[in-house]
Amino acid sequence: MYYLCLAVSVAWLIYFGYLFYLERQVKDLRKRLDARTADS
Amino acid sequence: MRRALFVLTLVIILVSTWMAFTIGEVVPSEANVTVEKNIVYVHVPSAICTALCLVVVLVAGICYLRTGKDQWDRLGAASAEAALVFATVLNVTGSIFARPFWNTWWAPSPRLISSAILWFLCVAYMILRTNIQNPRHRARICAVFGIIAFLDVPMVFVTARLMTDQHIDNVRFETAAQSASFGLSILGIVLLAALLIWLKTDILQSKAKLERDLT
Repeated sequence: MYYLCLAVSVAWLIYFGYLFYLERQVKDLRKRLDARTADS
Repeated sequence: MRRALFVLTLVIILVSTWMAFTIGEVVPSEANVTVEKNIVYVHVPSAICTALCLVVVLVAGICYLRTGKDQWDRLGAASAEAALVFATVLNVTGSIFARPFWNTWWAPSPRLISSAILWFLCVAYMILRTNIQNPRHRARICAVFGIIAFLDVPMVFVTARLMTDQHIDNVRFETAAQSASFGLSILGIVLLAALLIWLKTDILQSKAKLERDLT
């Protein structure tokens, strides 16, 4: 059971880490779009 | 739509994880293997997803080279990034799987070596993508590299059959609950891959539009 818990935890960590990275990219894009709208 | 898919994926992954911990006890074909078999519910779906993502990279690469449309380049890039995520899970959970079976984290088995090469090919794709500045040049080189990288996928599946390998060949599911659990875990991870590729493609499209507007 120990190794299964370890495998599931690591897999979830990697998946959510990547989702967090994508979310940061979306936020960064939104910020750039807002700045462009404010400029124009 | 995307939020609904995210919730559905999360529910399926949660249910399949719960099933793996409770009713999903499986028996490998090797009689002497008695420990920690349920990792197949995490390890095998990530292997299938890595292969599927690289199939998308292959198709996107061929379509880009034929049509020259940027949308194929973006799809290829998004799929390659998702393939890297799943290949990382594949290799890490494989190491965790190996520890109780072989008493070591890694062994020079043909399947393990070809899986590690697959991971390095995904990393090389990302390095290529970030280091070539010219978009047309980058898209063309990445499309060709993606097609070449795909060639390792059949190797991963074929090496274990053609060469002597200590890697576990297949697992036997004895009850319908185990098969259902395995099917659900594959479905959950495939949906997650689709979601990640969709999200990343949209990000790349918005980025390209923003950069086009700025120039």
